[in-house]
Amino acid sequence: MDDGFEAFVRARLPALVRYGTVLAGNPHDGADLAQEALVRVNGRWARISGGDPEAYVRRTMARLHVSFWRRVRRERLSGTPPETGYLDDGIARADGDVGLARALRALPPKYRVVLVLRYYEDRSDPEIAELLGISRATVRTRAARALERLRAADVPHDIALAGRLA
Amino acid sequence: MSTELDVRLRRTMDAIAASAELPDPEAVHRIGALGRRRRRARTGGALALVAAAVAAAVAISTSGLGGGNGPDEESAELPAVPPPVVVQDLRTAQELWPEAVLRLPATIPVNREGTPVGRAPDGRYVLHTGIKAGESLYPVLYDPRTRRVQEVMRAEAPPEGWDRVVVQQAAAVVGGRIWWQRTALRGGPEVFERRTELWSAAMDGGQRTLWAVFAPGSGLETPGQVFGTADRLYIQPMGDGDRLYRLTAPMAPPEPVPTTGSWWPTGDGAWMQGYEPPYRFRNTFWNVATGETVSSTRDVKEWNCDRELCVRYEARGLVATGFGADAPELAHLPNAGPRAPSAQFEVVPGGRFVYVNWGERQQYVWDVRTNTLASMPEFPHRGFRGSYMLRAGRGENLWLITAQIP
Repeated sequence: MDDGFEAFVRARLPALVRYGTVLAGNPHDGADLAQEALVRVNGRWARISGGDPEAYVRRTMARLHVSFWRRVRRERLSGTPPETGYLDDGIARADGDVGLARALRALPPKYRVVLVLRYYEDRSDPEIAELLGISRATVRTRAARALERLRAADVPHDIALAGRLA
Repeated sequence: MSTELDVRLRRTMDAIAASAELPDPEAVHRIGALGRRRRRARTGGALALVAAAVAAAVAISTSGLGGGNGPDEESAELPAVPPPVVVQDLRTAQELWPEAVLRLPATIPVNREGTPVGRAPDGRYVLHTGIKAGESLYPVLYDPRTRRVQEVMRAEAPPEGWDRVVVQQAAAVVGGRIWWQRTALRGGPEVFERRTELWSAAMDGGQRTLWAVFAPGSGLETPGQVFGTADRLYIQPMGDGDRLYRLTAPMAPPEPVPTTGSWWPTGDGAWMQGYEPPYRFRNTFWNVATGETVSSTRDVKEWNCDRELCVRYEARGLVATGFGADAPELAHLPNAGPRAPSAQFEVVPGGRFVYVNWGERQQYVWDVRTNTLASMPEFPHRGFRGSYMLRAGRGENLWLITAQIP
């Protein structure tokens, strides 16, 4: 492994895993996403290391997230993923809104990624459009639909958990 | 200007990020090793052999439709690793198994989106109809011949002392009946109190029965998962693999079922699978209705099971079996090369089809009864409990439903 790439991974992996976790909605897939993006970037390190490699990795992660193999992760609508309680505990401890986090997880990836780029990465709509390779109008439409879905689903789902943590 | 939702979104995303498990130091080396392995794989000549092995193992027809060679828009700047499996000219699931495909209007007549969860003996389909704030959406029966819809339950006023009602748990067909749960809420906005009712109806929509009322503090007031057989029904609290209750009769208190360790239902039936928190399923299965347990000593990388079918990913590839101590091997899809460990697969509820993905454009439906692959040219949307969306159209969605086949 290239020394520069190794140093980059050591320095930035935690932040990339956090970003991946927000994109994917859970830490397991988030770590997977970061790893997959880094493996892909590794092969192109010589070409991209002179620029802004972290921006490149993040863009790769966003695209991977909405690409097919991300979508086929277990996002079944039925039942409750076994790790939900575990995830929610962590989110609640960090002062997050568990119901909103679940609603975010339930969004299709193409909607979720727009919100993550807008609210977590603080990207403008034109930047998001460029990053995802879609039009600005599509960004606005996806963001509006995602927010509409979040408002529609905005019911706290796990009061028992909230009570336990209170 | 930021709205309240904007603020909550930012705070919640920060919290999600903070909840991430930070990687161990070895992760750096794993990433390097993975990169090296993939580079070797790209230059290797074994891929054609792998393709031949897969092609030999499955029946492949030659309609000219290819699922694996289309352009990958998402990876236009970052070319994907060359796919290890080159199975070309497969027919689509729609062509191979038209009897298993339901064409459902994108919006059913009651102005809702519907997802099939089962098929009634009279040919109608049980649809889950989603959740909207402030509106109670219940299961419906949909007749594709007449396009008419029968509502199993209509929106009603909340119980006295409660503010509103939502239906929070997807409709399901368990033990030959339709099940759903509706929850009444009061209080808020920070803390809601909830009370959940468990309802069922016959497959023709009649005999509507209130099975249980879970009061605040009961541990079941957040809708859980109902599963089992017609004679033995169970409910597991949401997200709690350590607790399990048996539903014995309408309005009878749920009976706790003693368990050791964590168990999760594999589908709507009685088989459960052991679970090792936080991520790993164990190689142990338990039929909660009969008490039978089955363990496997194989080195299984991943399991995915449903009521009647289990698929495991092991060294030689994907292997489909039924449940039970002497369950025969139903079908085998050979290992597909160096990219195989990242293969995704999922049993389509119903015991016949398995969704398999070997890469960004390599997606198939595997019929384990005939060991046949079909291509899935389009991104498959998720279904649940008895169906799988093959294609989303503007006015019509195509669903794969095993229950439709005799």
